[in-house]
Amino acid sequence: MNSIENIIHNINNLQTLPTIYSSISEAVSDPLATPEKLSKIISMDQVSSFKILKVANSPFYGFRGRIDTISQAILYLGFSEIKNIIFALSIVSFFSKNKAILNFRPVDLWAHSIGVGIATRIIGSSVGEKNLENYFLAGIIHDIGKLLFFEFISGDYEKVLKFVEGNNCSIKEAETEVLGIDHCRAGQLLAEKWKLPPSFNDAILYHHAGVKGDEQNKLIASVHIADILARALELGNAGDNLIPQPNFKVWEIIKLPGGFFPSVRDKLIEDFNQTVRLMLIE
Amino acid sequence: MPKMLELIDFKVGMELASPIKNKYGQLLIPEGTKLEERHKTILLTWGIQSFYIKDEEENYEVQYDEETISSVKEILKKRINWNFRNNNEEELYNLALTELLKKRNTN
Repeated sequence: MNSIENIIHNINNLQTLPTIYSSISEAVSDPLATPEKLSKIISMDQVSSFKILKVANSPFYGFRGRIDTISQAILYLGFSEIKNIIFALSIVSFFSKNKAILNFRPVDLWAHSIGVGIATRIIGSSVGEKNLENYFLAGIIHDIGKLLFFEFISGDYEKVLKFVEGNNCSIKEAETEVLGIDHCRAGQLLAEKWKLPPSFNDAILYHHAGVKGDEQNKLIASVHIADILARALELGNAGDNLIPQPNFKVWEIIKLPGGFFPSVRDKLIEDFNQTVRLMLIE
Repeated sequence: MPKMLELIDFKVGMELASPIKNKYGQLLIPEGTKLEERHKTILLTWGIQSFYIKDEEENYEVQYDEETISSVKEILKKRINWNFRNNNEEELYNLALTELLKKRNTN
């Protein structure tokens, strides 16, 4: 079985997402869902409840320390945001974190993804995006394909990392060269398997390109820039240390004011440090 | 250099670096305003979670000599092999450069 067949085979046999996420997704899609019902489902899982409250009180939501109960979290953040937090927490615990390959560790990749998630949200907020719920999560899962490689084809992935080192190329180029499939495509296959919303599917598949055809897609553009920003600030490890040039079309989709990047640096790093501690350490 | 702050960090006397608008684009507080307690009520009313202030600490940035900057730029060439085409890209480049300089300073 070659790498592509191996990945597809493993994705097909991969288990579904944890029960709490399925129950919440179902409850949220019910037009008659009430905050009480949702709160009851979440509260049944004490570990998740505890973590949700921690994330809800983290600095980037701006409610630091003021949310004490799941009902309050739902009231302040909304159904979709809570669902996304649960999903983010679920996938972080879903994949193994101890399968280091050479010097590349899954926790460093998660740290990169958290950095991209926070940056994506800050960019979305700055360009006046009203529905920010998906921005953090899209950043968190943009590199999920790399986790599949860690999990299922670690031997081949070691060759990819050696190729990166020997050729000073991007990990995406090395994946295509060595495996015949890159993390964008592998991640998209997983998104399909898990039936994630199309916006996430697109963010995973097009985050390197920055655009999807002629669409003025702010979410994809934001993840694209956030990925480059996280690399420039060395937040975590994406698998190679290149800082690629943004797709020029992206600047037309998200018009960022002059001085934007230095102005958000401190907040981004503060939020990053706190969120990494919350999601990966505590 | 403007600095993004959250509502929780609001302090009377801070100077706004950019105007605050509501979600309909209407001006709530103009740029350059020295914040007063009543402005906090406006932010709370309109659900504004973050805003930009002028950062007075920027003058305390560490200065680096030309030789250090040149050597770090050489290292950065391996990671950034492109020329910036607009202000946003120049800022990204400078962020990466500053980050490397800071790391070198702390090591």
